Amino acid sequence: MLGATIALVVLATPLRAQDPAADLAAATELERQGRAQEAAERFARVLDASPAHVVALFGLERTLQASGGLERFLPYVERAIEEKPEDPGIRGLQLRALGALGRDDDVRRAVDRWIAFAPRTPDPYREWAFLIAQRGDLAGARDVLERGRAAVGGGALVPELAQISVAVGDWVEATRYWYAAAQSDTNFAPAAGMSLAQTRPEQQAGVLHILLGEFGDALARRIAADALVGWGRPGEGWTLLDANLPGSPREAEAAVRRFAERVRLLRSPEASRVRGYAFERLASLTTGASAQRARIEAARAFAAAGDRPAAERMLADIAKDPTSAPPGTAEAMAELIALLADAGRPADAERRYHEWEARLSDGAREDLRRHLAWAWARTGELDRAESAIGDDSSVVALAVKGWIALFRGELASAVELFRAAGPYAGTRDEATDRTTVAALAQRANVERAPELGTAFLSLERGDTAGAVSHFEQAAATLPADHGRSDMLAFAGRLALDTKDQRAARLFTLALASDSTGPAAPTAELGLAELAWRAGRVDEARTRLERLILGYPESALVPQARRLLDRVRGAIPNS
Amino acid sequence: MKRRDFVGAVGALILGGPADRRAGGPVLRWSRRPPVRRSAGPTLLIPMDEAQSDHLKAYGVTYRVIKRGGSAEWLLNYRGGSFLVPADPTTQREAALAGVRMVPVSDAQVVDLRGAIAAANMDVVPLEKAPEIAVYVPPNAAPWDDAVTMALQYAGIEFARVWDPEVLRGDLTRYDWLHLHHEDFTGQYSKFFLSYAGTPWLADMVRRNEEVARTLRFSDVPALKKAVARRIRGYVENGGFLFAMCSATETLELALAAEGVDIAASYADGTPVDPQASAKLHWDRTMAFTDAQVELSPALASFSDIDGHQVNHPGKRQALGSYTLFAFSAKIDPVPSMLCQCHAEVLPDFYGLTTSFRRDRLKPSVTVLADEPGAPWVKYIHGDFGKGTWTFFGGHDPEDPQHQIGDPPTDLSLHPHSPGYRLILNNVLFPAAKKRELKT
Repeated sequence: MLGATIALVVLATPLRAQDPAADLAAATELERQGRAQEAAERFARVLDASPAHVVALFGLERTLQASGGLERFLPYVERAIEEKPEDPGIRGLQLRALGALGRDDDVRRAVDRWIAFAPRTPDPYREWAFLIAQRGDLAGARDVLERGRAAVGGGALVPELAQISVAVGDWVEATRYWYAAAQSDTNFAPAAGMSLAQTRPEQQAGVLHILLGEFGDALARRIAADALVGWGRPGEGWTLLDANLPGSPREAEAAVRRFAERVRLLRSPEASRVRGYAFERLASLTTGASAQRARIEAARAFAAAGDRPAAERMLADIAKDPTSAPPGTAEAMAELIALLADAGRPADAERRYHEWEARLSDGAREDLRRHLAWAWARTGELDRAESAIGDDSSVVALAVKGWIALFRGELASAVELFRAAGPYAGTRDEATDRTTVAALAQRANVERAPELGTAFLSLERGDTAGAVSHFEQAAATLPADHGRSDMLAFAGRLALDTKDQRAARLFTLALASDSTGPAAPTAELGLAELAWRAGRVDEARTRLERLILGYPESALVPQARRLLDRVRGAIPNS
Repeated sequence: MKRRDFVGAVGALILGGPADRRAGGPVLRWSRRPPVRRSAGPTLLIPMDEAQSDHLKAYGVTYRVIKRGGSAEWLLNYRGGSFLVPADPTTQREAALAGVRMVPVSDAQVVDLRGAIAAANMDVVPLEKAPEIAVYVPPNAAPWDDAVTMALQYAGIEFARVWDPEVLRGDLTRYDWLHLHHEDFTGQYSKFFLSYAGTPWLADMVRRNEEVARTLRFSDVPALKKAVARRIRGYVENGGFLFAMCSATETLELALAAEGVDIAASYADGTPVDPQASAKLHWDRTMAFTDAQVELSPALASFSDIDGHQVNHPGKRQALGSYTLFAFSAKIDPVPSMLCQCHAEVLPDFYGLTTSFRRDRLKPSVTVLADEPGAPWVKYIHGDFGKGTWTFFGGHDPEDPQHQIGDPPTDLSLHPHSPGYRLILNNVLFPAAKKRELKT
């Protein structure tokens, strides 16, 4: 409605009216409608009344360029310069228009006039260099900036020189310019760090050498710290920054906060830990609520990094009394409880859980109970695990209950619970694990198999060697064509993945037990991998070909083809 | 040979006339038309549309059928450019191992299929003799640094490696097909001399090239590369098939045009580039390009304005878009049709030191096979030169659009349907589709 009204006003406004504000509005609307020529007429009328009206000048330049009449712009910009000779924006417009028209000699003359008028300002050189750089002549742009720097003196044009050096890929020179720029004005230090963070990997050592070796002062080290974050080396960056913080507490706080925010973009345990260090330092630089918030942030960062002791240390003071803890503490505590559970300290985790239960959200409580159940299950305390999960009937909880049943050796119950949990409980990998285990349990075709339960529990505890032994023992109790070869092949796969010497024997036993059953492709692939690792290329090739041709429907065929490609040298060996 | 000549030659052979002499192009020895493989036994169709499980290895399976002396047929525009091969146990075994989908077809189905092809924009091209393939690479080049080498290795197609000494010794006459990738035939080490100064790989490249130049008694590396470029042009002129990608396309042509003109930076030959070099280039000596302006700056890894994308030129670099394959008439334009067989028409673009070719730098005789609609550049071009043909494909690696030095190699088992790599492999099979007299 408003647009339509403006359009009507535009159409109704006769050209002879002399109201600069109305003309400007009309010109803008005409330009928006794509009526460049008419818009140009309106902008020109504004300039007739106010020759140095910057908005109108920019509008006229745009619309004349769009309608192919940029030449007409030149008298207007000349008049504007006569009225406001000191305005760098207007002079810059003149250069841009002359450049767009390809009148290089006139550009040069305009620059000379500008320099003669304002010999101590870097603006003419900057605008001229920008024009040249836009045409791709970066070396020419650098020459102009160097001339300007020599003429004006001080730190003039150094940031621009740094940017040109970056554009031509000369990172060593860019480093020198950026350092000089930050020396003359410390506000350039963040820009320097951000820019040098883009340094090509092969030139990073050179940049670091200049900053730390050639310059070596605290400013250079802080720039290096910023660059190191960009290069994915936050640990080294933090070491440099922490030892070279600015003297002023306010500046130090700003530097650390900025560093922590930059590290947030990196996703790695190291980055999380470094973020924790930064917030810990921030807590020491600030007081009161600000310091508490920093400690909570530090605790969360340490928890994300898996550094439980550091997270506990951060929460030690503020989490003493859940009722008076500051906002955010409960979330940080939830992460710590999960960390404690995952670290095999279910008793500590459960104690803290009960202390904080009332302040946790429903979702956090459910999630933590699953962590606790897993933690108890791993210790073999299966009753406490069941108690922790309680009457939770979510699909995730059903999956956890399935694992608990499996660890008890109750195969039929485990399969039933896994089926009830379905494919969407937890991550895709977890669903795949459940499917694999359910398939194995079904191959065994027995209601209960305590030895198998022990084997899976050993595996869950990370005792792969023990699990291999238990699986082998469990296999001995099963019929040859009903689970024995499957358990042996599964044990062989575990042994292979952990470079256990028993792998070859287990695969061979699996094949001997049932050379045509579903476990045979697993055993063939395992033996092929062992042969390939040992340099027995022909054997590997023969086994893989036998697998692909003999079991064309096996899910392992794509994996076998990929290994065969590698054995043949058809794809990179990485 | 012009496309019309090719068709004329084929047509004349159908009628039994001496097409080779009249056309003045490659001497074709097609014995009959249509050269249909008689269905003496069961036949397998290798579909090349979306139903194929490994498009790239399908080329290898077909190539090896011909290599074993068997006959195969390329069904242009039929289900993405499918192949018809005999259903012998070896082929079936190879296809199963490679994961290539094949469909058994009865004689009656083959008859139906030929009927469908005859009635539409499709054609049958017999593949008769597996071409002998050479790839031009330095002796120390990793196999994973060149898209064609990767495609050949993945598909299981044998090839030989040649470099400057072999080319200058005249070894190219042994091969039907030659591939060039990111060699810099201007002899300036891809113009990385300044930006990668001090890196071991560059130092090794410089040392090897200088050593060869010295051994073969050339004054400098640019002079050596110009001589190699001339030999390669002679190879094409005498009937060879040349396929080039990335910077080899642009620099080969610049080296040919720069006979007697210094276009190399001083770090390569001790003297600066002739400032008037662009005006002195001899474009009558090149195959594809004309009227290009040489990039004079030694610090910019750009050779000329032939490349539309200028990936290493900060002021001129263009963003990647996509390119579209031209649809040719299979019966009238069999050669470009073969080179464009694919299950996709629009493909994502990818950078290389030379990514594309500006339209206004192409000679009028050049056939454009793929371009970016509306853009001032094209991607994939082909042409005849003397008795041979050349095909240029811009970019470095179709599955690594931003390829940077030091990037991990592309694992083609993760890209078995890559349409860009299919274009490369079309070029490998293309020479199998026709025969020529021995090259001199």
